[in-house]
Order: sequence, then C-alpha cells, then structure tokens
Amino acid sequence: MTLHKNIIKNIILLNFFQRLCFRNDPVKRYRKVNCAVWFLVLLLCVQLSAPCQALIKAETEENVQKKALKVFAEGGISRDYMKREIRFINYVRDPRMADVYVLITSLSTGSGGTEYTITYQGQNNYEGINDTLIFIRNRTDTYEIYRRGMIKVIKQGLMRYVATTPTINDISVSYKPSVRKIVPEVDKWKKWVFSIGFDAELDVEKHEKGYDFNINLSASKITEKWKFTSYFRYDYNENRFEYEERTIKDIRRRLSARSMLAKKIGEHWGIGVSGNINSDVRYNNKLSAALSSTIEYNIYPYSEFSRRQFPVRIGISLSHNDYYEETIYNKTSEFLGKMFMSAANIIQGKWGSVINVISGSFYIQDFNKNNFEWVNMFNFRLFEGFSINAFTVVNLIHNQLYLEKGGLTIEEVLLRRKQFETRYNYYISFGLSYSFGSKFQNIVNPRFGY
Amino acid sequence: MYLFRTFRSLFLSLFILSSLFSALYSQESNGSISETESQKLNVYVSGFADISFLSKRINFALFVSEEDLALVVVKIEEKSTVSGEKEFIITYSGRDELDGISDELSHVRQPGETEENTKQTLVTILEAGLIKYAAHTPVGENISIKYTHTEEQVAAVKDKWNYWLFGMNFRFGLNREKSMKGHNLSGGFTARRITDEWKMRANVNTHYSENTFEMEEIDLAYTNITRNYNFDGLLVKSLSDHWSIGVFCQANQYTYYNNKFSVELAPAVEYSIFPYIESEKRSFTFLYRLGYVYRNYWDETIYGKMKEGLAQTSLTAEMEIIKTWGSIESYLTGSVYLKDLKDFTKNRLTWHFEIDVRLFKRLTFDIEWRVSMIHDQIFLARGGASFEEVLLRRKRLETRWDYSIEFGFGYSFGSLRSKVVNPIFGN
Repeated sequence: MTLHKNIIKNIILLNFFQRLCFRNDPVKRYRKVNCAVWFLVLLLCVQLSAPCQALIKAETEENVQKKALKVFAEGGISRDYMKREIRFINYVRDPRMADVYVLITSLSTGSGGTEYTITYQGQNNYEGINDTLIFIRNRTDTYEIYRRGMIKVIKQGLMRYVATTPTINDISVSYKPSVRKIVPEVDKWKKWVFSIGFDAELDVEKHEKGYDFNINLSASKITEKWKFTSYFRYDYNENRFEYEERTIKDIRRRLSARSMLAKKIGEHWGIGVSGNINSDVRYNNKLSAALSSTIEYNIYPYSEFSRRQFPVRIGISLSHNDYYEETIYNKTSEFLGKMFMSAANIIQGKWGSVINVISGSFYIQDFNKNNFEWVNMFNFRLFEGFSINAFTVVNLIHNQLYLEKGGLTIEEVLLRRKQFETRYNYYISFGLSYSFGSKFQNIVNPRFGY
Repeated sequence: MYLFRTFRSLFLSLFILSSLFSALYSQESNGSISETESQKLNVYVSGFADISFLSKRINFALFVSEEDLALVVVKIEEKSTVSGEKEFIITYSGRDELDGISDELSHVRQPGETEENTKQTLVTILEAGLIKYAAHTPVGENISIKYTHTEEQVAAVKDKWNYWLFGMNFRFGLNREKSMKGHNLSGGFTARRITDEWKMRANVNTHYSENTFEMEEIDLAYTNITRNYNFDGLLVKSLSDHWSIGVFCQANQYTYYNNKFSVELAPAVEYSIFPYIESEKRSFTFLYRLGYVYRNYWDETIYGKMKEGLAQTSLTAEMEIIKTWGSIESYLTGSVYLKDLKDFTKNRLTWHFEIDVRLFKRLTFDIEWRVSMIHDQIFLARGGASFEEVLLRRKRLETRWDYSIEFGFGYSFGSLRSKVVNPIFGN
C-alpha cells in the first residue's frame, strides 16, 4: 500500500519538475530533466529498499520467535507481567502445545512468608528434562520485590531449555557479586514470629449501611520438627437496612482463638494438641472452649506437600458450650465429647487438579448425633483446549445441637443470619470450557483496559 | 476517642521498639568476611582447552583445576553424526549439594561455521546449562539474564488462525437443603484477536439463577429469580505509544437495574501518559467516550418511561503504580446523560483510591476508598421494592451518594526471615 503511494507521489514530483524545466531553455531543460530523473530514481530505490529490508527483517524475526521455546506456565505470577519480562519464549494456550510446562505451587514458611516451588517439565524434544527450583518470598517483601525475584528464578530455570533455540544468541548473562557481606545468620528470636493486625471497613448508601472491623494477634514458632501456633481474632459485622420506615439491623460478632502444639515424626506422621475458644451468633454459640488431640498420617511424604498432599487425621475433643438461647434439647450450656476424622487429598499437574476432602464426627455421648461432609473439586484438561470441572459439597447433618428453640424470623432467614435446621444439604455444580484458535498468546495489549 | 488513644500509643511504642531492634541488628553485621570468589559456582571442565576464555565469558563460575573442588563437572566430547558433521556433547553432573542433578546439551556444527563460531556457540550453550546449577545455589541470586533483542514486546507469532482465539464455557449448579433450594445455569462465548496494532474482543454471557426459601412454621415461601444476558464488544486501534481509538459496544439485560434490554454504542479515545509498554509497572490513562444508549425497562421508571434513548459522555482518568515500597491504584470518572444540550443534571462522579505500603519492613498499611455522587438513576422503578427485595439485594435502590472506606494495618516482628516449611496439621 505505502509502496503504491510512494510511486504515485514520485510521478507527481516528476511532473512538477518537468513543468518547471519546460519554462527554461532546452539544454538546461535537458540537464535538469536528466538530473531530476536520476534524483527520483535514487529516491525510489531508497524508498523501495527500506520496506523490503524491513520485510526481510520482520520475517526472520518472526522465524526466530517461531522457533523460540514454547512455554505454558501456571500459578504463582501474573501472566501479563511474565510476558513483559520474559520475551525470549513463546506463550501457548494449552499445556499440550508446550515444550516446557511450568507449574508454580506454594506453601507458607514459618515466618509467614511463602515458599514457591517452580517445577519445569520438558515435553516434545525436551521429554524427560525436568527441574525443580525454589523461590522464597519473605514476609517483609512487597509485591514488586516478590515478582522481580520470582521472574529472575523462572528465567534461570528456563535457560537450559532455551540453550538450543535461536533466541539464545540474543541473551546476555551478567553476574554481579553481592556487596552484602556473608554473615552466619544469628536468629535472636529463635524462630518466634509475632504479628498484630487491624482492619476496618465502612460501606454506606441511603438505604443500606455496613460496618465491619476485625482485630487479630498471632504468635508462632515453627521449626523442622515442632510447630507452635496461636492466634486470636475478633470480628464485628453490622449491616443495617433502612427502607420505608423499617429498619433491620443484622449484627454478627465472632471470636476465635486457638493454640496448637504439634510435632512432626518422620516424613509421614504428626501428632498435636490444641485448645480452641469460639463464639458466633450464627451458631447460637455464646462461648465454647475445647481441648483436642489429633494424630495425622500423610500418605505422601511431607516434602512433597506443595505438589501433592493426602493427610488422614483422627482425633478426640472435649468441649464446654454456652448458648445464647435455649436449644431445642432444652440446654443453655453443655459438656460434649467428640470424635472426628478426616482425609484430604490435593494433587495438581498439567492434566488439571483434584481436591477431595472427607470428614466426619460424632458425639461420644450419643453416636447418632453425627455428621459427614464430602467436598470434591476437580478440573481435568481432557484434550487440547477442553476441560471439565465440578464442585460438589454434600453434608449429612445430625448434630445441630445448638439450634434455638424459638425458631427464626423472616429477616433471619432471608439474611441467612442463623443456621437453618436441616438434615442434609448439598451443592453440585458442573462446568465445561473449550477454547480453540491461535496457538500463540504472546501479546499484551493494555489499551482500553484488559 | 479513648480507643483511638490506646491504639495510637500501642502503635507508637511498637514502632519505637522495632526501630531499636533494627538498630541493634545493623550494629551486629559488622566485621565479617566478604569474598567474591566464594560466591561463585565451582566448575570443572574437561574437553575444552581454552579455560581462560571460559573464565572471561562466564563470570559467575570459577573454573577449578580439580574435579574434587567442583560442584559441577562438565565434559565436552566430540563425535561425528551419521551425516558426517561434527557434534559436540556437553554433559553436566552435580556433586555434593547438587548431587543427582545431571544434564546433557549438544551442538551440531553447521556447514560454513568457523572454528571461532563453534567455540563461541559452545560457550553460550555451556553457560546456559550452568545457569540451571547456579539457580540451585545462592550464586543464582547474583545472576541477571537480559534479552538484548531490539523489540520491546514478545513478537507475535502468526499461525493458521491469524491470531484469533475462541472460547466457550457452560456451568450448571444445584443446591438443596430442608428449607432452601435453588439452581443456576450460565454459559458464555468469547472471541478475541489481540495484536499490537488491533484489539478485538467480543463476549456473550448469560446467567440464570433461581432460589426458593420455604418455611411453613413462619409462613414463608419466597422465590428469587435472576436473569442476566450480556454482550460486550470492543474494537481498539493503536495509533502510537500513547494514543488509541476504539469503540465499545454493549447489549444487556440485568434484573437488578430494572433493565429489560439495553444497547449501547460508544466511540472512544484514550491517551496514556506513559508508553503502553510500561503498563505492568506504571500506567496513567485518560479515556473519553461519547455514546448512545437505548433502554427498555421491566417496570415504568420514576420519570414515567418504559423505554428511552439517550446520549451519554464520560471521562475517566486511571492510574496504577507498582514500586518496591508498595502500590497505588486510583481512578476518577465522571459521566453525564445529554438529554438535550442544556440539561447536564443527570450525572455521576466516582473516585476510587487504593494504596498499599510497607514501612520499615515490619509495618504494613493499606487504605482504600470509593466515593460516588449519583444523580443519574433514571432507571429506578416507580413501584419501589418490597422488603424481601431489599434484604436480598434484588433491586438497585435510590440513593444520591454512596461511599466505602477500608483500611488496615499489620505489624510483625521476630524471625521474619525464617524459611522453615513444616506442613503438619495444615499449612
């Protein structure tokens, strides 16, 4: 298109020169015409060659990019940021299309930071070439410090795969020894971490007003073998509806405090004791205090917890409950013993992910007062671009000892302010998604919002 | 007031305490060793004669003369391929803390490749392979990798789909308990084509949900139905690093806004103070749109309309900055219906602001607010809402303003650099 325009422009220019020349004498005219023609031929050459060069360059550039490593990454970091910061690879839309599948999973560290496990899994020509790197975000690191550090590690892990692609020729590696002096780290706090937090929220309009705040405190000491955690949290939520001279106030106060001491025994076993204090109007719970002891067996080794976990727990607890209102069993307070067990399986991979949790409990005084819960969540990438997912919760409930004798008001039902009497509840949802089209998803275009 | 004072004094004393501790810490770290060489990766290479060349090119590695001193042992072997070309095989094996990590890379000498070219290529590949090992040690922290390619973006790669991407999704949900039951259904289709020059996007989404409460003892039977349909189209052309023009196109139905059917077409222009390429770090844009909207209502509005068509114009300024100390996000948007060219009273102004900072490493603070002055609720139904509808938030209610503010702070101290992970009894 631009080439056509240039040629037309040149013809017009030539015309203009010729007309200019005809007004003068023939010799001069001839010279001028000659001069002008040569000038224009030169101009045309320059104009022609520029887009051609650009064309050739663009083609090779696209070829280089086409041959660049194909990566599918998930978890841990914003994909758009990654595309901006790591430019020597291609981003594909399905894990099956990738040369390397990168999965980032995380666990909390003892200090409240995060340990990210970055797994590289080679496919196609890179079959069998795998690697695992660790990146730690300290509790004190801001988002920017974290994402810079993370990108650095992701890049380093990719280099081995990039080594045999053409983009390697445009990569420069620099090394700057840190000026930070190496000191054997002395931990004066002996792994103790303390924190305090406060949050408040106000949301107001003419007919509806909401006020929330919470305060939380925590102290913990986590070592390879031992785990001591304790926290205290108080929540206040108030919602007020004012409409046509009616006012409904919905207040929920919640208190929870917990202290736990646990010990890891080997790669699979853990034992622990804990004490809980709770209060919540939704469960007619004025104050409850419980002591419990639990034993845990993790089917996979704890060292693989970030990638796959399957802890099975069984425990016993003793509690004393105080109720706001007299219960349907005519109690205002009672002493309860409970046995509980659970099994939770979480696995993630390029095929998708599965979360499966089964838990149940019964009261020691009366085996018939029991409950059972099953939570299942899965997402399977069945074939290229196609995935199915489902979310299921099933509850069989025979232990609502806390239910109020007096029943509920319409407002309490509509606002779901209190737990309803029921012997069961379930929620099942099923979804599928399919995507097709361009394999490469390299471009970030933020114009007019994402 | 008393509460405020208590918090203030608590806060101040914690702050003073933390400053004292940090002062103590900084005092302590004097008088220690600093050796650049001990921060390098020890590598033993065999099969490559010019070790000084390697040292010059690969700065993060220290090339040692004995295998026993090395963390990584590299062997370069020469072979001939079936077609007679020379092939170089680089094998890596880790030792001590890198034990068990092994790797292999290779390079086939291309026709016309000089000795010097081969040498350079071999070193480049050797280095790339070594970075993997460095990444497993603290040496990795001091290595930066830069892509020196001229383009600032990842180049787009065209395939037979010509940058088009399509997607569809469907979801069905069901819930039951004694006095409550419901189900919901949603589905969507999306098509998009995104390049540096053009951005085209079209989404269709539908959502239906039904929830029933039934409690005989309090004489309650109530069904809550929500139906939303939504089409959202966008076409944007990049004009320069700072300018773009485009058009928004929307058609939708929302029960909450008394909206039976509405369609809107709005051409717009956007200016970005910073080049768009920096969008993930900082952005500051102004978007002006001028459009026409046609609406059909479920119930007659307070202005006695069942349908109407209006021109609307708006200006939005939006910014986001992400820095090592924290981040700021804000937008200010004003819009007005142009009923005739004299009446600008049906307008709205919204300001949102959010800041998240970390002070002195141990203290975090965040605050967020949103304030709206609302004078454009022309869609409000004349009949108002029932009390159930109010409690279930079924209908948008009349208001001239709304605001929300949220803030929080956190303070932590102790072994904040502890890296121990112990997942027993939950993480």
